[in-house]
Formats: sequence, C-alpha cells, structure tokens
Amino acid sequence: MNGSFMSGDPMSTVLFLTVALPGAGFLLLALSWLAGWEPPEKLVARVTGLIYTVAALCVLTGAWLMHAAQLPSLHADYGDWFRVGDYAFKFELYFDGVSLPLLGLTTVLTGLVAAFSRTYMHREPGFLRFFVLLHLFGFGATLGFAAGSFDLLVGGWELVGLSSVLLISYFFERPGPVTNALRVFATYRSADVGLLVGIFALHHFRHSAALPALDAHTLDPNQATIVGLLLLLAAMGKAAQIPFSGWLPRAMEGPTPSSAIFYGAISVHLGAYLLLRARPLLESSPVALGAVALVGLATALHGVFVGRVCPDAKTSLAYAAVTQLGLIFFEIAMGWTTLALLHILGHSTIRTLQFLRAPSMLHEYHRIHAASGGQVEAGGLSIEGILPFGLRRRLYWFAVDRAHLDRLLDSVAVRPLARLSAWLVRVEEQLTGGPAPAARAVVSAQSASPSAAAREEVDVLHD
Amino acid sequence: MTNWLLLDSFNAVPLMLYAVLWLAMLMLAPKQDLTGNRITRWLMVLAGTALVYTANHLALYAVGWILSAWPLVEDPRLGRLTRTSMALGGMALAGGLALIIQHGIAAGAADPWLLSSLSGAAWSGGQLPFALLTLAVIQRKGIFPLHSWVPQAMERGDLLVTGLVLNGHFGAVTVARVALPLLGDASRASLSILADLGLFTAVLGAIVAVADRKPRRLLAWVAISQASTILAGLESLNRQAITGAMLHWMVVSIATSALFGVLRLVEVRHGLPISGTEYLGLGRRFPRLAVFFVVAGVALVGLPGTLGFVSEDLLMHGALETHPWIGLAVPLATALNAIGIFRLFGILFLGRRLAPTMIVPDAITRERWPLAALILLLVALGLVPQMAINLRSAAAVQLERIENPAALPGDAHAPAAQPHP
Repeated sequence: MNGSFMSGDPMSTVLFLTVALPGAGFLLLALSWLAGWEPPEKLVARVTGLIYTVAALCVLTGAWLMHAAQLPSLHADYGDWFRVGDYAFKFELYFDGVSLPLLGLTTVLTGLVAAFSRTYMHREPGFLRFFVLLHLFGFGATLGFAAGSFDLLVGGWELVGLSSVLLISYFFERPGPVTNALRVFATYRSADVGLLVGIFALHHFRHSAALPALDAHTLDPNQATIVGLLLLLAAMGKAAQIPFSGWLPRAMEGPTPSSAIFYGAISVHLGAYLLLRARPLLESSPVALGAVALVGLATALHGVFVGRVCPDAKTSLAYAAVTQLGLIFFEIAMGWTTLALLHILGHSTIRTLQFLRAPSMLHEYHRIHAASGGQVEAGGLSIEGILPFGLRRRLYWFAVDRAHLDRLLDSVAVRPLARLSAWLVRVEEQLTGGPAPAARAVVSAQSASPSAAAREEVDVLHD
Repeated sequence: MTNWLLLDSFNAVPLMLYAVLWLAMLMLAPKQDLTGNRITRWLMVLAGTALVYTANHLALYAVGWILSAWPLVEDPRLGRLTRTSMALGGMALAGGLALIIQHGIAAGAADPWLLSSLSGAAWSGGQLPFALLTLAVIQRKGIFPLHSWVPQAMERGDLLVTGLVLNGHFGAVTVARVALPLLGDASRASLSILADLGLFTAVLGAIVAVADRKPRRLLAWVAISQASTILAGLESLNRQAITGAMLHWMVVSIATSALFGVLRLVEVRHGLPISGTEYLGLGRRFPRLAVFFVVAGVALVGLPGTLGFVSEDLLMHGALETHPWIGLAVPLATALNAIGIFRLFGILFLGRRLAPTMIVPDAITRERWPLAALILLLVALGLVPQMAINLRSAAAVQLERIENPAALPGDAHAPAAQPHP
C-alpha cells in the first residue's frame, strides 16, 4: 500500500522539515549578513550542526513512522506552489526506499562536513560565505532527492549546481578557481538543457512530470528514447561521465570540505539518482538503456586509466569517483537498482572520508618521506606492468591528456560556438561602430595588455 | 477628455512597477548621472512611459512613445544607428496609429481617437497598419533585425536611462493594448511571425553574449535575449503562457534594472571604462554589490527560488502548443545567458584586485536599500509566486478572451477586468 497524504499529518510534516531546515539555515545566515551582521564562527557552526542533526533525526523519524504504518512509499502533497487556470505546479514530495536513504545520507554527511569545516575553515575570510553556500547546497540536495516531480527536482538540481560553482570560485583572487568555475558552470548549464528539454518533452507526451505515476507504459518506445536520452545527457553532465568528465578535476579548486560533499558524495550522485527515477521510462527504450550502459562502462574504464596518472591526491580521488559513478550507471542500465543504491551510499561515504583525509594524508606522506630519507618505495600491484612497453606508453599518453576529451569537447562544441559568437560580435560592432570615440582610446589601451587571468579565461572558454 | 487616460487591470501593475523601478534607479544613480539636463532625460522617460501605459487616446499614445524615445534621439554620444532606429520606430508607430484612426473615422466609430471606442469592432482596414505597428514593436523591443540599437545605446549612452527605456517594454504594451484588441484576426498570422522572431532573437542574443566581453554590451545582449520571449507568451492564446509572459516582463524589468544599477556603481567606483579583458577583482571590496549582482543574475536566467523560475515555467508550459520551439529556444537561451552573466560576474568581482586606489565603500545606504528591495522582491515573489500571479491574472484573462473569445473563465483567482477611466 502506498500512502498519499496532505500537509498536516505527522509523517509528511516531519519529512517536510528535512527539506525546509537547510533552506531556513541559508535564509537565516544570508539575511543576517545582508542586514549588516556577521555572526561569529562558533554560532554559525552550532546553528549548522543543530540544523543537520534535527534534519537527520527527521529523516529517521519519518522512515520509522512509515515503517510502523507499513507504507513502502509516501506521496506528500503540500498544495499548489502556484496555479494558473487549470495548470498547477504542485509542491509534492515523494519518500520511498530510494529517496529516504539518500536524504539520510545527505543530512548526515553535510552535518559531518560542516563539523569538519568549523576547524578547517577557521579564520578564513569567507567562513560565513562557505556555510551559507553549504546550506544552499543542503537545501538543493534534499529538495532534489525528495521531489515528487521532475519539475521540482529541477529546482534542487539547479541550486546544487549554483552552490557548487560558487564554492569552486571560493578562492576567487586566484585566476585558476575563477576560470575553472566558469568552465564547470558552462558544462553544467549545457548539460542541464537536456534536463529542461527532457521534462518539457515529458509534459508534451504525457502532460505530467510527476514521479509516483511513472511506469514502463507511460510512453511509447520512441518517446521514451527521446526523453531517456535527454535525461541521460543531464545525468552525464552532473555525474561527470564522458565526454563531460573533464570538469571534475577543475572543480577541485574549491575548499576540501566542499570537494568532499559535492564531488565525493552528493552532487555527482544526483545524476545517478535522476536515472534511478527515470528507470521506468528507460525500460521502454532499449536504445536509451544501451546508451546508459555504454556511457557507464566507457566512463569507468576512462576513470581507471586517467586516475592512475593523476599527479595530485584530489584529482586522483576525483577520477576514482568517476570510475565508481560509471559502474553505478552500468548497474542502473542492467536493472540492478538496489545494488546501484547501495553502491551510491557506500561510495559516497568512503569517498567523503578520503577527501576529508586528503590534506592529512599528504602531510603524513611527507613525514614518512622525510623519515625514510626520501627512499619511499612505490606500493600497489602495478598490474599494468604485464602490458608491453609500447602499449603502456600509448596508454600513458592517452591517460595523461585525459583521453583528449576536453580537446574533443572544445573542437566539437565550444570552439564552433565561440567562433560563431565572435563573428557575430564583429558584425555587430561594425554595424554599431564600437564604443564612443572618447572611450575607445581608454578601452583599446586596456585591451592591448589583457591580464594573464583574462587570457586564461579566453583560453578556457573560447579556445 | 475624461477618457483620454485609462487605468485597468492590464496597465496598473506595470505602471506601479515602473514607478518603483524609476525611483530605485534614481536613488542609486551616481550624482554625475543626474547633473544638468540629464535629469530632464529621466523625467522624459518616466512621463513618456506613464503616458504609453495609461493612454486611451491614440495621440497621447504616440506622444508618450516619442517622449520616452527622445533622450536617445537627442543624445549626441549615440551613433546614427540608434537615433535613426528610434526615429524609425516612432514614425512607424505614428503611421500605424494614423491609419487606424482613419479607418475608425471611415467606419463611423463614436470617437476614432480612443482605444476603448475602437476595440471590439471587426477590422477591415487591411494589413498595412499592422505592418507598421509590427515594425515599431520590433524596433522598440530590440528584436532581430532591428536589435542593434540596444547594445550601442547601452555602450555609449546613459546606462540607467537606456535601461529604463528598454524596460518600458513598449513592444509588449503595443501588442497587448493596440494590436490584439484593435486589429483582431488581422494581426494573428503576423503576430505569430513576431513571436518566432522573438524566440530567434532570444537565441541570437544569448550566442552573441558568449563572446562579447564589454560589460555594457554583454548585459545588453542578455537583456534583449531574455526579454524577447515575452512576445511568444503574449501571443500564445493560452492563459498560463500569457501570465508567464507578464511575470517574465516583471522579472526582466526588476532583474536587469538591478544589474544595470550594480554595473553603473562599479563603473563609477572603478573610474575608467571597463574593457572586460581583465578581472577587476572587486568582490573583496564590494561584497554586497557582488551578492546583488549574483541574485539579480540568477533571477534573470530563471534559477529556482526566484520569480524567474516561475515565469519561465509558466511561459514554457503554456506556449507549448502554439510555439513548440519555445521548449528548445528558452532552455538554450537561458543556459547561454547564465554563462554570460557568470562571465560578467567574474570580470567585475572575481580575480585579484588590480587597482589599489579604490577606497570607496561597498554599497552605501542610498544604494543598498533600493538594490536590496529589488532583490527581495525577486526572491519573495519567487518563493510565494501566487501573489504575483493573482496580480496579473485578470489582465491575462482579459487578453486571453481578446485572443480567443471561446476561452472559458474557469479560474477562481481571475476576476473580470475592471477598467477605471
């Protein structure tokens, strides 16, 4: 028996708090800063800890209440968010065996990362900014996992992307984080077109994007292929699957705790969650299922090769995460959804730990290195040694350049778009005559010596 | 004479919103933008826009249109393109209205000068008046192929005044108040082309914004792109899309006003024209301006938690049947525009600060309050959008009935339109 409840009953109220509390934390901290008051670090950390403790307890209580009432799923309708004529955007949340574990994981890991960050980010100039964005992420992630429709899922999805990009550019005085944040944002937004158009197509074919009613007979195979491939595009962008995997190492520019929660745990798994939710649609389309499996397997292999030649700890961890995400995609395509869910839970937990330990691990390595007089031997099986030297060398080149995927994306999508755009800019400037004569001299003087940072941005985005 | 002006469910909210925006821009404008005859330009734009919004008399409509365009026509810094374009738009409008009046006289209308007297009668005056009005709408709204005046005026002229001219959205007003009620079926096919041109402009503007580095021009492209989808919604025969278009009108007006305002404040603090080839790194020095910019930017490109998300959702769902391309054009344009906004944010606020001479403070009180009010409006209405929807629902129903007389009321939130002459 599935449950459908209106707002007001204890179960849906408790579960609603899971989503609402991080949002309230974000508003509280952001508005207090905007009003001119910067709360002390200790208060920020305590409020954050309290919010995620209560949110985790809410998930636990809600799950227990559902179990006691023998409800495998709960569809909680909180009324119309907005309505025009016969069209209503419902605020409905959906709790079941997929969303509840992920909500629990999100609240627990975000709380742990917040506790870790209290010390790690101590006296950083952007301490409050970090926590504000962490709350925004927490709100987006819980909303995404608990959404009762694809329409609402988009809301959480976009908020996670926005907070992710703003945290990548956290150290914004360095050029690297800024240019990499732009690249990540561009990748996110491009892939998100798939999600938006996919949902649009779903409305077009089915006149609804609600999750609970989704089944294998919702769409005919052709329609399911169109929607499935569009959703796959969005999932690939979010989960750093090939050919989009190049954004993940760029995202490591942010503070380590944000790397842990975003790229080790929650954010990258949103893509897999989207496919888990769309699984009933995918079942109608062998083409879409095949594409998910192919992308997953290829990404897993890609992650294995590239991860072995990464020069730094965080990038190496990022590619290890890419490998596991590829396997999760493959599991979803094969229909092993329970395994995929367990894989997500286990992988998120272990990867968060590894990311949070990364700075200490490096420190320990340096101590061991010094204690041994610089004679630390390489560990591991190094099974690539069984391959012929020539093949190993080729694979090494392939992996060092990350399978040339960034260059491929640049040549296929970024550069043609940038060229078209630059051509249009030139046409428009010829048409409008450029800046006023007085300003032209100043601007041309500035343009003659573009800073290294600006040149790098142009390289990243346009070239 | 008592019928020369009309305040009804359609124009009351835009008029109020415009007055608020005008006041907010005036409050935060740098003093150097309000010297000499520049304040006259501000007043002309306000008076002209108020006249266009409220005019029931066609001559007043034309006077308001020309009055609000005059600051751009007489500004010597602007190029020939802008001045010619504005003059062309004004003449096209005047010509179209003159032909409508002539037809009204021939048809024996009670008062051929009044919109209320002419609307509802079957139009048999041919396509020429509508062609002229379409030309005026395309020009004033900055729709392809008459869009180039917007980046030029933004780049060379007074940024805030040009922003106010653009945010009058006279193209949408003319479609809703003149073209649809007066020309009826005669306007249907041409309006559809106009809407498609709007969608094309949305994508075109977004593509140009990818490579244009000059902040004023970049912002102009994003503004054109986002505003161009309004027409597709207004012309869609569907209440959701019409409401979405009206909300989008509000979003574009509020968000671009805030963005133009922040950019102008950054310019006067920087002291030099901003080429866009280097990061200014002002985020550390001006964190509040940076936050205002980010929130206005994400609202403009429809990110959740803001009114932009709601307006785009309604626009896309409602216009699905009449303009299937909107399902591709809007996500594509907003994705590219979001990249453009983030690039501009990076240019202004990220990176290492190059000029150590700036000792000016972050947003001062008279700047902070209007910007905070605009931002809070976008977020509050985004969280509780039904309030904004209810404000526009009567106008949406009114427009839907004009476009599609067979449309059923069927909406508890939609009272009948109440004109208040």
